Amino acid sequence: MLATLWRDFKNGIIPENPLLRLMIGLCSALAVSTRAESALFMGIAATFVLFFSNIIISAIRKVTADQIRIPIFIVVIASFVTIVDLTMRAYFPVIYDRLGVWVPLIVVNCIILGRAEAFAYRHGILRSAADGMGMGVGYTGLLLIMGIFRETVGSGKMVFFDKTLFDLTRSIGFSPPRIVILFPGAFLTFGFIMALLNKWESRRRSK
Amino acid sequence: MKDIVKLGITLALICAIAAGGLALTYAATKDEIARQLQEQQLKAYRIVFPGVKNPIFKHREDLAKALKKEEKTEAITHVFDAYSGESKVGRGIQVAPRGYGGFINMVVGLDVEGKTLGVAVVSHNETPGLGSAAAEPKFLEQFKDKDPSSTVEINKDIDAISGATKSSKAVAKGVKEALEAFKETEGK
Repeated sequence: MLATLWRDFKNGIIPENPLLRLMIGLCSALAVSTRAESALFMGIAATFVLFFSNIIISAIRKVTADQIRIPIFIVVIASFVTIVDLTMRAYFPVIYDRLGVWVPLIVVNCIILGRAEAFAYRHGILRSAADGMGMGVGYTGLLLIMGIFRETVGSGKMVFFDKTLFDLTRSIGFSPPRIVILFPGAFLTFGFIMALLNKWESRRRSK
Repeated sequence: MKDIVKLGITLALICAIAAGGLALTYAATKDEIARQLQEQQLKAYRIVFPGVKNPIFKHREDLAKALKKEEKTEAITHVFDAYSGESKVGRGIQVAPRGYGGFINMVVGLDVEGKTLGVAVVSHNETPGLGSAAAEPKFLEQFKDKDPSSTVEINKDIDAISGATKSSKAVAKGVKEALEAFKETEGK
């Protein structure tokens, strides 16, 4: 049982990483990964929603008739998103401001509805929880990598909770290429990460 | 027919449970959200009246409403008077011009004659590293000491932030609107 749970959890991190492998939910990921801090909070918010919506949807799957499953999924997901939305607005207003519309838009993030439909609706509560957590960690992980890269290269510094961790523009006179934090930078960064992963995978397979 | 009723009831039940959960969350976070918003606003209000010790702010919703009704300045969200003890030191105007990534929620502080004392941004959603520089004091300082008769045009009176003309223009428009709103409400 534990082995199955572990496999379900790991599944979301590399083999079926929602962004890199399933290629869903990209829109928000490209948009919020301009800063590591925003990426981290967006990841946590999405993971929370994913985890709990998977649990609830799995728990009520026996009473959910096929014909009305989609509206029920949406109600469950939207409720958790609203909970996250209100909580962030109350306790992390600065980050909430920065994430802006992307927090409420988690409702329409394909990863969450996708996992509800493809996994939670067909599996038990524990396995669904593991799947939700794994997918969330996979999403957050990639978002963080992109956020750290784009913030460091694109703005030359790293700011976390109003504390500047390092500032390359000051210390070594680095002049950051702004394109990295603009929209094209998101696509380029994502493309390169994907290329690296594919390269690594094909090399591993050929061994 | 029986099916529809059954499905309807299931759906209604689940919606009711979800609504209950949301009501609880709302009740739990309501006060905190209001407090945060107020605090953010107050911080900006204090910035735009520099040098005033323990300022007291009084909202003038009547003036804000009147401005909205006349449709002269659609972006005005709040008007308030600033006092130091008993004496009035000026009027603050909160305005939300449209920037690059949405509305820029900003405050302009004016003294009793309509000269700008300071400009501060409460919240914005401009591109980090580019447009976000329009919310920083370095850029906002340029709007000090303007009055309703002066122009605040980008690249003429104000140096725009390179690569963020739209954000710079939005802030300038906000200041202009605030100056106009001051003229409209002067003496009231």
